Amino acid sequence: MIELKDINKFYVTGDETLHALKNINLKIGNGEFLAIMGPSGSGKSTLMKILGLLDKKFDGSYTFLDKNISSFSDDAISKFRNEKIGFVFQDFNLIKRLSIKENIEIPMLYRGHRIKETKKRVVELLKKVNLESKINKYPTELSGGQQQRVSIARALINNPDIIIADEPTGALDSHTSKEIMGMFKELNNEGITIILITHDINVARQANRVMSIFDGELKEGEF
Amino acid sequence: MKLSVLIFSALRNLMRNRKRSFLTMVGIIIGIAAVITIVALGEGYKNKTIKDFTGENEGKVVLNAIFRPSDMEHANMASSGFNNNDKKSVEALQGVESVEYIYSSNEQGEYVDLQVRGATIKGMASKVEKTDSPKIIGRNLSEKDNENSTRTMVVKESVLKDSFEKKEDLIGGIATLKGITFEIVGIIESDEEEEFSFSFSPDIQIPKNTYNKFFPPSDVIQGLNIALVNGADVKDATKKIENTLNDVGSKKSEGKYSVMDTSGIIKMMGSVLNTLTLFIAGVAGISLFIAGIGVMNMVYTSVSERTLEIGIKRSIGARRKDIKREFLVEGVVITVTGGVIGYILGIIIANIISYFMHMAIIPSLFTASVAIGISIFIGIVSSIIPANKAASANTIDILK
Repeated sequence: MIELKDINKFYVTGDETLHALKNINLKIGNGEFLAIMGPSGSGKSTLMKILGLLDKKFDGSYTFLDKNISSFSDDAISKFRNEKIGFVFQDFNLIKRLSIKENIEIPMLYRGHRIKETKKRVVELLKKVNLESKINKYPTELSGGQQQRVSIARALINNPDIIIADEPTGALDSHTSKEIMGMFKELNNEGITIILITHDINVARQANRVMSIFDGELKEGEF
Repeated sequence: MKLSVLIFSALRNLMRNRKRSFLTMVGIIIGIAAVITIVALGEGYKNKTIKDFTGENEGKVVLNAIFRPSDMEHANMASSGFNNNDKKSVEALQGVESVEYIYSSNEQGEYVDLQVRGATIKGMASKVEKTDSPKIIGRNLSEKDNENSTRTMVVKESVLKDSFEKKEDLIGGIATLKGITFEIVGIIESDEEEEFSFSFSPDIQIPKNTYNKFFPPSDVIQGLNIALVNGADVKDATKKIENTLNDVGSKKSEGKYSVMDTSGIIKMMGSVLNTLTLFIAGVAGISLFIAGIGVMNMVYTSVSERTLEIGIKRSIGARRKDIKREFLVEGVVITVTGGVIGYILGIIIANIISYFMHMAIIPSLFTASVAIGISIFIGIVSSIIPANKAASANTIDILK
């Protein structure tokens, strides 16, 4: 469902040019659970942004769900992100001034639903991540693990084909990490493709397929 | 994102930032309140004057034709300067829609000529039960005067001006009104403030019973009420009617017919109001301009406060125009809320002022749409720049 061909990415700062990604070739099939492992500065976040359609400025071709995204407008790409991809970030990226319910429903509202229509789905997802009682709380009132579960609920609300998780356990202790990883496995069993970006080999090993990135070069397997 | 959702979230933000939103709104509230006050007063004033001068023929130009006998002393007061033929000849003129008699019911008073010691004073005479002017030379009219129908009157100093050197000497003097002699018992000193007020006080006041006894509310035709068809040339019509009456009028040999354009009075009063309008419009304009800058500032602050939030929203599927609309709607919701508060305030202020001006203010669709229109305009103009900035910023890069 995803195919990267000869992807190169350069960052230009002043006179210096940084070659962040070097000839990346990657194929991800439907229902895969892929972990991309690499130390900080290896280019894994850059790769994640390209994979997640957050960054369109690169050389090479990217086919997402059998469509070449380079020809897509910003609006079309936004629609893809909204309907096909769910994001889970290291810092959770919940909006602090909004309640849990209001955070989770946002992707649904951008899809064009009314506020009245979201409640049922939000409750359903909160049940799934065991946070039903927190629906009217605010992100700052929740622990890190709970916040991450809320962000998973938000990622799932539009029934995405793929979940991209960037260091989802990076800010969590080992016990909560296990919980979150269990959740990803469960989602993968339900058929959702999962791409996990991490620097932690123990986390990466729980995926079905592991790739590693170092200095912008991607290769199959561990280091 | 649906507009209803945008408005709902904007209102929610507004409620969560109550203090800041309110402070931003103050300028809008003052500006809109000022605009609405003056527009509502202007409208109320216009309605009042039109009603006063044209009665049933609302909005139409109405002319008054009167007859002034050349020999006032010996004119027969019971007969009129107009008869049915005069009425018909005016009706036949081009541009005239309808003609009605004005009967001298004298309910409100009438415009009369008063002879005092050989001089003629023109003024508005009205019938009263008694007078109670605090600043009076001589005495006020009492209820006794009314009960006994005494031939007494009080006169305003301002109408006597220039005609007499020592006004005090006139107390107890004889004045002739329509052939009937009266005793002047009091002279009301002119009040400086009154010249600026909108209320007309009569120049000559006579006890009611006296008035009715000597000038019975007969069917005497005082003049003609002439309504013109819409779009008729007022000046032209006035001249034509005047000429016609003076050519063929039943009493043309005994005096002179004249036609008044009552809208002239409305126009004159209107120009006073226009000056006031200009002044308040200036105040409102400055206030709204500053308010617009305030709104822009607030939206700018919101944009920079929510950089991360914009990034998050973009990553989960918000298009650039969704972000732009979000801030635009937020700005407009603030100005419109301020506009609604300002509108209510303006109507209240206009009602308080109108209470002293004796007229009715009704909240009209016109004033309401003025308030909402201006608010939406300011909201859009002042938040479009920060909203565009928010939409075009590359906020996704800062996500971790």
